[in-house]
Amino acid sequence: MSEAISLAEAASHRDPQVGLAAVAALRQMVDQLEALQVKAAREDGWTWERIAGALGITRQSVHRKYASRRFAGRRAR
Amino acid sequence: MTRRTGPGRDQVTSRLMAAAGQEAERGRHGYIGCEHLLLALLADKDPTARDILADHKITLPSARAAVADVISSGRGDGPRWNAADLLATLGVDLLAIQRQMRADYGPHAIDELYRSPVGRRLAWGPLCGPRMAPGLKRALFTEQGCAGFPSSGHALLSLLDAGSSGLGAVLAALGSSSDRLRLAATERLRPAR
Repeated sequence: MSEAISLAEAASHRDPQVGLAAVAALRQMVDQLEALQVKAAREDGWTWERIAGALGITRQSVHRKYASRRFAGRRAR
Repeated sequence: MTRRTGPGRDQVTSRLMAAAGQEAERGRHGYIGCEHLLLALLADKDPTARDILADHKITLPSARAAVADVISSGRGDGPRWNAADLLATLGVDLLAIQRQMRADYGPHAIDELYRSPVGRRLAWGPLCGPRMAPGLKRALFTEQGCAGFPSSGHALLSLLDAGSSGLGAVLAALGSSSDRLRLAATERLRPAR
């Protein structure tokens, strides 16, 4: 007999493995969407402070997460 | 542009890579692995690998069913479920989000993100295309794979040498094994005296 269980079947039984994997996928996608927006904001000349404020996190957090050496010497406006 | 390899040799590799990707997409598996390369070999216009596999009663329909079974039971080389299906269980339409991102930022926005300073630490995620499993890279990017396989039979040998557990599970489900097929492929590809 096949061991395969369809995703729909597992999800309908509220299999935690599906729930956790779905949340992980969602988190990864949110990280990607955030990075896209950060990139666009930087290209539009936003400062790290302004980006951090919009994201509701500290400037240090956003800088640590996204700033590369290329941006290290750039002064915030 | 002139290629450094012989005529047609590198075309086998790129043709198989494209076909493996199509098989992964067809099954909505979310990654491209050795399992999909096996399917690509069975569907390829060069019959060398297909004939070797047929001798072991492995056909495209039977292999597709075995691959689907192995992947959905979590024995494949990649994740058990693809991101689009997982996100759908939360009511999130990944394809709609991808469409919106492409409309807002351009068709290559994700590729450009990963090449930008902002994306350099970013992990691979659902907005990217399917990831290539390490076993598939081992199978295709051998010295011979990079230079171009002379035939699909040579690609099959490289696939069998890649050490993929997903492929092993598929072959076992089909009543065969890497060792058995390697022996048959080596025999078939031996130059006639």
